[in-house]
Amino acid sequence: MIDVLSLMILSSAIGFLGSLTGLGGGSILVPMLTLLGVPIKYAIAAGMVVCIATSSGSAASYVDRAMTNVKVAMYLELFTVIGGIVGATVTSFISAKLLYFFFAAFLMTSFLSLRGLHEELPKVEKQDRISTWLNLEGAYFDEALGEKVEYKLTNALPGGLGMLVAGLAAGMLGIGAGGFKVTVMELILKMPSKVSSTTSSFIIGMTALASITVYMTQGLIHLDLVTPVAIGTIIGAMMGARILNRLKNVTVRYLFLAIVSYLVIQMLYKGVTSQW
Amino acid sequence: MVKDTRRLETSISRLLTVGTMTSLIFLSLGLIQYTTHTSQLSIVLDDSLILSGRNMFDLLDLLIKDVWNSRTNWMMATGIVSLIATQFIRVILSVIHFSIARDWKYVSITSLVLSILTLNLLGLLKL
Repeated sequence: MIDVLSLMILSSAIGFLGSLTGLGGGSILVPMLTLLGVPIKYAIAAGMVVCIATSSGSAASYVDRAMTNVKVAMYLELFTVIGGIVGATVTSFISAKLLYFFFAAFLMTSFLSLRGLHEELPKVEKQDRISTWLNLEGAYFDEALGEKVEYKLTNALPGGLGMLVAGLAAGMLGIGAGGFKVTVMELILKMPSKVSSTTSSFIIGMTALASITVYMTQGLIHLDLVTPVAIGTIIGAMMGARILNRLKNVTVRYLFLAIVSYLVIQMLYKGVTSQW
Repeated sequence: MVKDTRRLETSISRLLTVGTMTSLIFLSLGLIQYTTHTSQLSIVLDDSLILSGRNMFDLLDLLIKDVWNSRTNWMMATGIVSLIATQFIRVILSVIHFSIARDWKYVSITSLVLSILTLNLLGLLKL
């Protein structure tokens, strides 16, 4: 099995990528750990710790620089947490094969943003009533553009429902579902890429927090496994948080789509190979 | 309103920094203690190092007993629990901030999230 130092290096790379793209990192860590001989249930529990560590490691810096939209995060957390609970409850009634195909299709919607891939920032002409009522807007200083970016979000209710699906994915598949969250925030709410990555990083800690209880009560958290994972992830996430603002939104979107491509292939593969 | 949001962001950022650094320190010291104690660097999934409890609050109780009895794993366990607790505390902090700012829409939203999470951490909601 893997040694402590290698696991810390691997985890720091995952934390680094996770903080840049808004993904928790569980979807990358879990298959790698299982390949290295860690039983799947312990690997998934470690994946949840990675999500919390990525969130905590990167969010402090993002929130301080106003890159994370805390209000939007609070509103969307409500939907993901409920989705997670429903997802975990109904997961045993639905075929795993169907689940993988459904969520692969959902993730593939990320590629709809390819049309506007070269647009640095999305444009919202008019906010809907609920978004206005909830003050879903914000501003941050973009180091890559060298200017203050002000943005307004729209489609608050469809965005919330999209987050419910992201929560369902998290609960059903035992992942942080960062890829789903970023997709919903960019495509439906029309959030700038950097803000969606950082807000997803912020929310993902909460989703994983809600999930980790079950792993803990089942005795699946091995301290000798999760400790080097958490240390590496926190360090990697802190490093990632330092460079995100220097990247262009388009670069962040490319990086995100590359990782989502990997996730879609992984889900399709699991869908094909799993039992009905 | 903008000033209130900025104040909330600063508080959450400080909380996350303190929580994460506390966790990182405990985890690092715990790992050094464990590897020097066992003289091995490979991960063996030692059953004596399982972090478990009926719910999060039961785990805290067990952790305090571990600290009191100076069990070898208490530092690593404290590191993981700090990481988890930091996320929970930031929701409490948000409820307090929105209440002070009299932003009742967000007081309702964050209170609902806090209630669901608390029930979940108590093991009363299946997830």
